[in-house]
Amino acid sequence: MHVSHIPVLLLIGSAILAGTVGGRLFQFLRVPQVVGYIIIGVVVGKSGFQLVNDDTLKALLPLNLLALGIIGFLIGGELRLSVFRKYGRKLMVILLAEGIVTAVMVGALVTSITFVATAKAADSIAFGLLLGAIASATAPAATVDVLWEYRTRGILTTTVLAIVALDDGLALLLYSVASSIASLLTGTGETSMVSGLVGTGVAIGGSIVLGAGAGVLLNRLVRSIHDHGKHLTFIIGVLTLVLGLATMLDLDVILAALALGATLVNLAPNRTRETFEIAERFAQPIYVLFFVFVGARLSIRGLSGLLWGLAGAYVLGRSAGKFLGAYLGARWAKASDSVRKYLGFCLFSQAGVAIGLAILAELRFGEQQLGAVAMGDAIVMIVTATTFIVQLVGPPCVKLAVTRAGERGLNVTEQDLLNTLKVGDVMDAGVPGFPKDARVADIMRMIADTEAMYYAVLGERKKVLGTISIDSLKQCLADVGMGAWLVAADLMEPVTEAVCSETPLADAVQRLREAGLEAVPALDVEGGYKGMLELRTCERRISREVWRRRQLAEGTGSAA
Amino acid sequence: MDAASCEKAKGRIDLLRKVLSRDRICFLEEKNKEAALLRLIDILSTSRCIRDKDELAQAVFEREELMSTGIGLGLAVPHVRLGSVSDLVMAVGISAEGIQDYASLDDKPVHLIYMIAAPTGQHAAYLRLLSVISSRAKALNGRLLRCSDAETFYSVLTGAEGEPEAAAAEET
Repeated sequence: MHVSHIPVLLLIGSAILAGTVGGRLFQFLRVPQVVGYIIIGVVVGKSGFQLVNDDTLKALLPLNLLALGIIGFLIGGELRLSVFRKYGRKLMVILLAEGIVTAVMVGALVTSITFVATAKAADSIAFGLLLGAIASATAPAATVDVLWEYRTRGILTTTVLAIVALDDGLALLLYSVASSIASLLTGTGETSMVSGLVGTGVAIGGSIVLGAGAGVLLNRLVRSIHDHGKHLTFIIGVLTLVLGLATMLDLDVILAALALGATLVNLAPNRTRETFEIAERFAQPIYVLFFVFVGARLSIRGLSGLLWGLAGAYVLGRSAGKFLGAYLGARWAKASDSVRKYLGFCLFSQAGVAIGLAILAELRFGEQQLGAVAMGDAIVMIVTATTFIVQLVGPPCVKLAVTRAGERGLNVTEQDLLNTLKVGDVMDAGVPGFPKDARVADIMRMIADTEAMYYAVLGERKKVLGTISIDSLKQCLADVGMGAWLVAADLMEPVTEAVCSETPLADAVQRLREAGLEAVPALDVEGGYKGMLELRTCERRISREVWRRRQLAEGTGSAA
Repeated sequence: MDAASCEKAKGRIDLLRKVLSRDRICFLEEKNKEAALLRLIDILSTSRCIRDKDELAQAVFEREELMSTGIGLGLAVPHVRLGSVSDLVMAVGISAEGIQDYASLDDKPVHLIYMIAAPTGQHAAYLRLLSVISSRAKALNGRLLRCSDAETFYSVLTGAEGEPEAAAAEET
């Protein structure tokens, strides 16, 4: 099928659906969903069936920018000044260590291999410097997606978010220095190192100023509009405006969006919590699309033996550099054990910024020959091929790290828990059921030690006939003698709703609320009584569990 | 007696007046439980609130199978809740000789039978009525047994005598 004949909307719809199915499949295999999205992209993309070509990918570039922008915005939302005040020095030490060690390791390996293959010292060093600088970039999207998927919370999560957020700036700086030196070494220099650094400084500063200014504007808009439904319109409007301006002014898109999110969250931490939740919900299909097209764009065709060798060295050097740099940085910064041991695993991902820098290198060093290929082409091919590998390996490593650090599932809301639990997980199986001829006096004696407000009345084979409430029993207290001659059937209210213990808790709670009920009997698969599901108890247990997990996350944080 | 207590007592009397009418108070000739209950079912069914007499009879006897409604002190309170009943309603049977086979809690003959039927939707009011009957019938038992006609019985049962706080309220 020729790609240009596929309408864009059909392509977008298919990509979202196929990506989601792929994601669910991988989730089922206990692999982060993002890997599934990318694999679907690879299958339909340039390395697979080639259903998507360069023109289509180029046409969808604004969507990719929007996805990156939302990711940047949401990461910015995690960057609270309080965290930086507390961990700022540590974060800077770790950031510099992981970035510089990675650049040095990749640079050294690539330079050595290239020199052995080409015997051109200056070109080899220039090539090594460029790839080293590019290798320091860490893609936030895939990493953060895993953190959100597994609802992580704790010091490792905080550190990862801060590092991937700031990493872009460092990569831009390193690239600026490296490209200036490379220009001098290869004789392609049109700009001096000073002007290169100034240009980078302007790009970083401009992105931050643009994002921060828009953040102030968005905060005013959100504050003046009380209808939360309209917040999404303003968020997307302002964010898109920032992304458009950043593109137009050659600024860093992610950094500008990040500054927007960070400004908003620090201006009004409590009021904007919901704003970020709205953006996160909106972002889901865009993420899927973004990662499917990341996969579609990856091309590993036409790589020569030397380039494969360099790609291998790049991946090894980069992974070792990230791991060692993060470890050393965390050690120097005296960060907690979990950061020291696992941060490196969370920094393998590479995508947008690295590819963007590779394209910049291609433009600047396209003419410079490195053996049989142009240096610029070699950089693009190596970065693309390695992105292919690390994007597949990176997310499972993040999952492994946050699992080992004990931070999985600690960042849950009450609704998250409702969505993951079943009725059987929170129902009170200890609430006794009574036969319909049980005397009320006996019932009162038996329930004295229970906390339930509702009790089941049972017929044959534990079939639930109805429920008795504490309120009904209270009526009998007016005349204590009543308990002797009333039986369960007299106080019982016929059962109008019952739930299976295997029913998702969210569905059961919704049914209770819709029916205006406080409690329902929970049944086993054969319809026999198993316990009572009380709304009040359920809400209390859920709240307690959320609190417990947050305390646990705070506990891991305090160890930093 | 405070105003809240007076209000409660008045509420209890109002409830009795609402569910009982003079024509649903009868003097029983029947000597056994089944016949007495059938008679009261007939009388209760004269109320427009009872839409299915057969269902009422079935429910009354099913309830007796679970446990006798003879609560002791010569009193019985057969009671049912049914979907076919439109509102709370009560009939009273007075047996001077007593129903010997009622199987009361204290094994003594039953002289006063308060039969109550309630709709399924009035659970709270139904329980309240059971409570009111239980307490007032016990308090006024001797006087009620001495009543020679339905009018007097009605006046005593629904009068303020059993509720001193209500009497005070009525006087004011």
